[in-house]
Amino acid sequence: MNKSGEISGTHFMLGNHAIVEGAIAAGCRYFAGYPITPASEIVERMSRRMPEVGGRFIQMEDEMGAIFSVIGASLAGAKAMTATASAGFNYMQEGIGLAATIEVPCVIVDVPRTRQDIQPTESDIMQVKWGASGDYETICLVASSIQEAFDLTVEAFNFAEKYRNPVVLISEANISHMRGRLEIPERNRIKVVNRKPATGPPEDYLPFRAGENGVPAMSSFGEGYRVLYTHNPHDERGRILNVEADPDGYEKLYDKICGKITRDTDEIARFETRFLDDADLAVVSYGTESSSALEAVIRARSESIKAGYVKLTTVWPVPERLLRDVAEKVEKIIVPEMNMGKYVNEVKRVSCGEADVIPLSKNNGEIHSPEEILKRMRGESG
Amino acid sequence: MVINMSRKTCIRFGGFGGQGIITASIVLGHAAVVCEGKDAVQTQSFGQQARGGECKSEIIISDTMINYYTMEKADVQVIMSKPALERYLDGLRLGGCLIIDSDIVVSKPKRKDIQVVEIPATSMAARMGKKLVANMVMLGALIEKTEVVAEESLQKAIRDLFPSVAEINIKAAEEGRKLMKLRSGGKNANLHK
Amino acid sequence: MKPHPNVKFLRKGVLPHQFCPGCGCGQVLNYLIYAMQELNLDMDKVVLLGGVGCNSRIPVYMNTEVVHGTHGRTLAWATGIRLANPELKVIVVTGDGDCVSIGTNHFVQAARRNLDVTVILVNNGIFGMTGGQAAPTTPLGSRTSTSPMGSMENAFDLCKLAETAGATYVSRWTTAHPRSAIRSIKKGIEHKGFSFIEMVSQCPTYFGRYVLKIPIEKPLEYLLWLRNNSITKEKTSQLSDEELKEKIVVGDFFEKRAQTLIERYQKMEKEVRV
Repeated sequence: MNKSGEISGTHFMLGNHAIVEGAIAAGCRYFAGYPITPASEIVERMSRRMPEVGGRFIQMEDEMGAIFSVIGASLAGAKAMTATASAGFNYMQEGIGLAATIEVPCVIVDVPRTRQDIQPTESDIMQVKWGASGDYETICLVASSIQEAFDLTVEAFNFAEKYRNPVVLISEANISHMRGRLEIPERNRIKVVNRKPATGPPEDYLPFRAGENGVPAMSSFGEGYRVLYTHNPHDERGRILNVEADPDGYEKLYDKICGKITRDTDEIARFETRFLDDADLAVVSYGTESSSALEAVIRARSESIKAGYVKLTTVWPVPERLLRDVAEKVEKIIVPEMNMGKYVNEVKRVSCGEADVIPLSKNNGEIHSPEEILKRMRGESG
Repeated sequence: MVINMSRKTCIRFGGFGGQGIITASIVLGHAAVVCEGKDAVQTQSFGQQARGGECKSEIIISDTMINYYTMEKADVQVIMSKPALERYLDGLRLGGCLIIDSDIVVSKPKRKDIQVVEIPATSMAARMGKKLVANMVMLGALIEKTEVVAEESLQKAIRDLFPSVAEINIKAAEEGRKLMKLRSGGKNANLHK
Repeated sequence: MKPHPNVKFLRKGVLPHQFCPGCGCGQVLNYLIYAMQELNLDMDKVVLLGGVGCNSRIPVYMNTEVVHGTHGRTLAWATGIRLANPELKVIVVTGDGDCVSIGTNHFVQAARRNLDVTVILVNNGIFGMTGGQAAPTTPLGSRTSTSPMGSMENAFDLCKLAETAGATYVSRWTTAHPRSAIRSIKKGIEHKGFSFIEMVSQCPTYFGRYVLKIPIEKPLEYLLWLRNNSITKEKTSQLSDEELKEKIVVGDFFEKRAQTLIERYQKMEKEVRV
């Protein structure tokens, strides 16, 4: 541990703890949470680690308390995070909608789980993007290893700060509850992005005017800018819109808060591809399913099936360019998911019929075995 | 030490909550990853271990990066309760090694296609004055049999993780190694595929 | 013409306001401005929070840092803001629906923690913005849009609720008590810990018409009703329980200096760093 309480080096660490260390490395200094399995180890470790690094932790009365206090802390200038699991993630939707609308950077960790047995699931994957009312965008990254749990938490903060937007990090129950190898680089070797601060006299500052990359500069409370943040539709100054006086106001607002993300999709897209060059079939996966998918693709290659592997790390916004390229290249895309078949429809939408997109659904708390994916590759059913 | 670069070992620990089943696997993972630079992934049954029920921990240790985390069959099983013996017996691969705490598990496993080593870990720990270190006796026996990590690495892992009670745990692991040596008559290089 | 000296407290370009004619929100806004002015607060360090509802809209007109527009979550925002930057003065202006219907949990938990924050709850006894539905503050038997046969629920005594939950300064006035209200708001802002000021206010559009049967065009009658129906807590001993039921008891109910949440954090943090 260095003087500022940060750690580095090689560790054999729990996924949930890796997320905490990633947050600290990214500069997170406020955490509010509410206990829920399998995210509780994040909350517990944060309660000990925040004071060590000069940050603050609070256990709130519920998940709404957690997300809204995180928004408050971020407005006051802190990098802030909360963590929850599926049922608790439901409660946070209102806060995610607010954070996106008033453009407050924050990170929400969701550890999706089945209800009874606390097994991994991917059935929240659409809610991450579509959970709150109103028009907005979220960025969502999915970790599929302990190292990624750390790295992507840093990335999540960087995206949140860069785009002034909530970012959801998904770490499925089996990653959160797995221990594995983690390399934490020295502090000065970790790329950390901070929000662009407001500058100039307060009377000239437009807190919601799109700046570089479509993202407004952001002041912190107490700096003298006296910003009005309202969940209601607002103009560039933050004043509640009067539709009669400004008939284009709504569209301008929602085009700005959605467009800054969608227009930068290629920049936000993180993915990994293998064996694609000569592939006539691809397995597109995210999260822990990608561990089985890779194994299945490797085994398929030994059977002379020309299979390719695509792992999506950024799930939202949909990495459309990548998926379109894959669809044009291969004849068949298999999408294994731990749900009844959700994200597969996004793959279908983007493929525009260029490839045959086949869902492979399973929702019993177990990830697909490589053999199950292989069977589908061979064209066998079930 | 036997060095085989593509070596991947799947180990399953089973027993009751409170026996240190998970602790043993964490010590092993720390030894492999932090002390030896290997890759390892460990998963466990959650919730039960704190409530005294059945408890399982699985760890895969590999010299190369692990992409696929699910353990299909274990190479070695370290078993410290009768229910665990029965529940996980089928999960041990053909020719795999079953190490049982013979003070707790008195019945014999039904399978004939595996190796069985009986280690009286709990009585050894009791003789040392601390029944809680039976898990370290079993861990010592495990590394003697498999060489999955070096003895020094195990000792360093114990010191890193439990600095205040390192000595008795290290001694327990040492006793476990001795017990294993007596029973199997040495190392087992054939354990790995 | 010289502008009113207190215009500087108002945000530019947000008027006209949205309150109905005769509404008490403008008065409470005015009292808050007077309190701030008399305290000579550094307005750059003030954060005003309002949720959703007529009363929760008051902060929108103020020229400070403001968050507005999510129903019931003001005290959760306040918790994050205070912990992230203890130098900020956080004042919540909320309504009965916002604070003690949808937001009750955050409210009682923040009071329990003795979070350093001032809550001005404007209580008009009804949901105004949504059209006159029953609130947790609507008196038993009152006819509203959602209690056409008369409300079947007891109303909260908000000052008792706040005190029981752990608030360390508790006070109640009505919009018909300007000087006392300003004094209590000032006291609340200066108080270290969770301060709670209930401002019983008029809603001529709904509570006045539905419950008090005061014509909408006569808000002054409503104000006089508030004044004449109030009794200071010192005089309550002169009335029977039955007589008291019809009265609004006003005054300072509770005041105590106790360790605040921030002070506890600061103490713990010193120990962690040693």
